[in-house]
Amino acid sequence: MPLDVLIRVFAVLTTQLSLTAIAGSGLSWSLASVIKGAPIPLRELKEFGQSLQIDAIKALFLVAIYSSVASLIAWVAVLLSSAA
Amino acid sequence: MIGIGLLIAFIYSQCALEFSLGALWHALPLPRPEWKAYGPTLMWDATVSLFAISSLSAVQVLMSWLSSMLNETFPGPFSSSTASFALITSQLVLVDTTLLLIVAGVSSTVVLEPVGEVLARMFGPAISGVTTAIILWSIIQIVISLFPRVWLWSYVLGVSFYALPFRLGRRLGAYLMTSSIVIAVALPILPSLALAFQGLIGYEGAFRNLADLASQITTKPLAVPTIIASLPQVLGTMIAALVISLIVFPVAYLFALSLLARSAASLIGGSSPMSTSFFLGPSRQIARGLTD
Repeated sequence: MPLDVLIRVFAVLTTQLSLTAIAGSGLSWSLASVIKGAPIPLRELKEFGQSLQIDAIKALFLVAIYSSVASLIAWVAVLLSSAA
Repeated sequence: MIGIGLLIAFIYSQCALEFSLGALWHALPLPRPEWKAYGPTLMWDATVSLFAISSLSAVQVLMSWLSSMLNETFPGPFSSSTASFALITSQLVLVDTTLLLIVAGVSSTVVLEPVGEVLARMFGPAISGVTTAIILWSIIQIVISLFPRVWLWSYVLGVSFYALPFRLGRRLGAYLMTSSIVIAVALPILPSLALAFQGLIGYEGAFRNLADLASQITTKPLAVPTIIASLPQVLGTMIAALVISLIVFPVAYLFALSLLARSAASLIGGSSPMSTSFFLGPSRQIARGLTD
């Protein structure tokens, strides 16, 4: 498989994985809310829900940051290639 | 032929894929923290690989700075490595030819034939050592002449292996990256360094003594027996300096370079076997849970 095709495949996969990560964050968030809001008197379960929520927010934040950085790099690359 | 720009773009896309995989892993509601730990690791590895490929120009600048600093610190007897190589090769070829001629000359006489056989046994390892050194120096010369065009490929290929998800090619990638930098910086100064070392351990003094003895033969014919008696010591000193500086020294230097490359590779994370722990870690955890 030529490398440019592989790059395109990777780009598509990255987009799909990022979208899945955002969806996964939503799922984790809702699950965490359910766990936290459930009337179960177990401290460990509540802490698990709390950590799930934190991880979901962290993942969303990191995806946003990385997408911004990747877009910036791509923009600079396009700028440089058009200037050259 | 793949262009270097395409390979760099491929590494960028690889990093992005690894990062999004890590983010997905981190976002999934996995119940066990040790499974979840792979997400941040993947993201961290992707960030490090992205930094490594983005700082390609910085690495180039650092390398040229290091090279110029080393060239200034260890100035060789000759400014160009071609002249150093010519001198080294001529010295080695001279020793090789001299030893061969001595053995062949003594063996050709009928009376001294047993002596020739003894000499052949004595000089055999030395001749093969010198021939090996000639081959080694030729290889070093080829590598030095080719490496400026190859090192960038080697470095980028190293980053490409380094950026593979789940640290599958991390060790190889780190080793490729560090060895390409170490070879490109340290190998070109080897000929000058070897010649400087040769001067330091007394090759020039021994050579001057030999020239003195040769001039004494013509000026003082009566002192020939004394001169011949002191000849082995002078020759021995010269050949020892030659062997140490041109055969032992480059081998030791290359060994030191390989150690340096390995240390640098482990410093940038080439020794962490995450792939094994990734595939075996969870199963071990499950097995431990089942046995408890």
